[in-house]
Amino acid sequence: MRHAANGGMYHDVALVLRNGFRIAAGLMITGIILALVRQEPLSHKVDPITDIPAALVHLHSSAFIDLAIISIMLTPLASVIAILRSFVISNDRRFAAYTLGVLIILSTSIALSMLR
Amino acid sequence: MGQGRGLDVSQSIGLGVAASITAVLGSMLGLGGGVFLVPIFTLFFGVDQKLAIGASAVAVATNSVVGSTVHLESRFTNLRFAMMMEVTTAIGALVGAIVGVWAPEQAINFIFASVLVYAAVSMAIKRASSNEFVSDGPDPHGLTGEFHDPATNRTVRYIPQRLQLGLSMSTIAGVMSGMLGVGGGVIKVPVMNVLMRVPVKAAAGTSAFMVGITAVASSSVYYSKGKIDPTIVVPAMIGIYLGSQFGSRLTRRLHAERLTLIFVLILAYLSISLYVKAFGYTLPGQQ
Repeated sequence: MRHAANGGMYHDVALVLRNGFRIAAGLMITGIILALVRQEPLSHKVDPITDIPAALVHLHSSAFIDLAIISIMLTPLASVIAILRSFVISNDRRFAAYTLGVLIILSTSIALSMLR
Repeated sequence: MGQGRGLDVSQSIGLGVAASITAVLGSMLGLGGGVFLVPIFTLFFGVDQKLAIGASAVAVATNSVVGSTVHLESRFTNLRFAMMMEVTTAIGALVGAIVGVWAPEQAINFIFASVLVYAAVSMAIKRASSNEFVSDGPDPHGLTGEFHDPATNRTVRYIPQRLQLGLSMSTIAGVMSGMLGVGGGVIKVPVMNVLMRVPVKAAAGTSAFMVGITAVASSSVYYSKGKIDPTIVVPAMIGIYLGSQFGSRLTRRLHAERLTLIFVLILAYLSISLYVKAFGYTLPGQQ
């Protein structure tokens, strides 16, 4: 039972990582193309996360690149969520607790960046 | 929006090529490339140290995301073991990143140089990887791992040992990772393999996955402090991705152990450069 659940977990985590990279790569390519077409210089600073949605609406290249960077940073976090889900489904409380602990630490780091 | 001071295309290409080379070197050594990236960016391109560390942290995450899928599919990664170890590693990375953002540049150079010396010495003495893993016996924490080793065509089963010591060492690896923007594999893989008796392929696979999670904790802190510069991060990410793809293919064709001396010399040169810079001087040709 545990082996079957773990097999699903490995598949899910690999899928999350693969899709996370695809999203980040797509956003980065879009940002670079926009920068070239609109002749916008790349920004030397990332924008606060709260400013990114409005910049995306206006098709600012820097917003797409910022989002690509954030996507690649958040992909491992998404994989931790996938692992937590698997442990909860298989009723593996001890490892669900460890994984939740990791998630809390990472969420604290990300909350710090959003408060910027 | 952020400031746009203009993109220096030649510098971006240079950073990308440098990142590719570090990734190729990292792939050959199984280090991930982070240990080369920050010194090369700071010493040869004059990139601000904190921005180089921030870029390296994001590049390390990219390398982990791309590389881990292969390890997961071949089951070299032990996710239960990774999650247990990551509790202390992530705390270490968070603390290390906070310290790293505020620490004086000289202190970071000195610590980084010491880590490079450790990596060089480890390689120079060619510490033999441990194959004495424990496959039977009590497993109170449920960490038993199992994978098929294509090299021997056998199923390898192991139970990680000395958890408390491993968790302590992993915390140190996390601090170094957060402070210096490196993956920490240079510490974690030997700890897992030699101290915890985890087969080297499982140690490398588990470490490769863990460094991405650790990088989330550290890169978020650098993001929050404005130490992520897209003009440095973008070439670093692209370069690391391309370099690791090329490096993993090249490694299969080359006898990497024959190149050990060259890598040891490169690490020694970079560590001496950082020690010299820590005392306010630079070697010829450096910034």
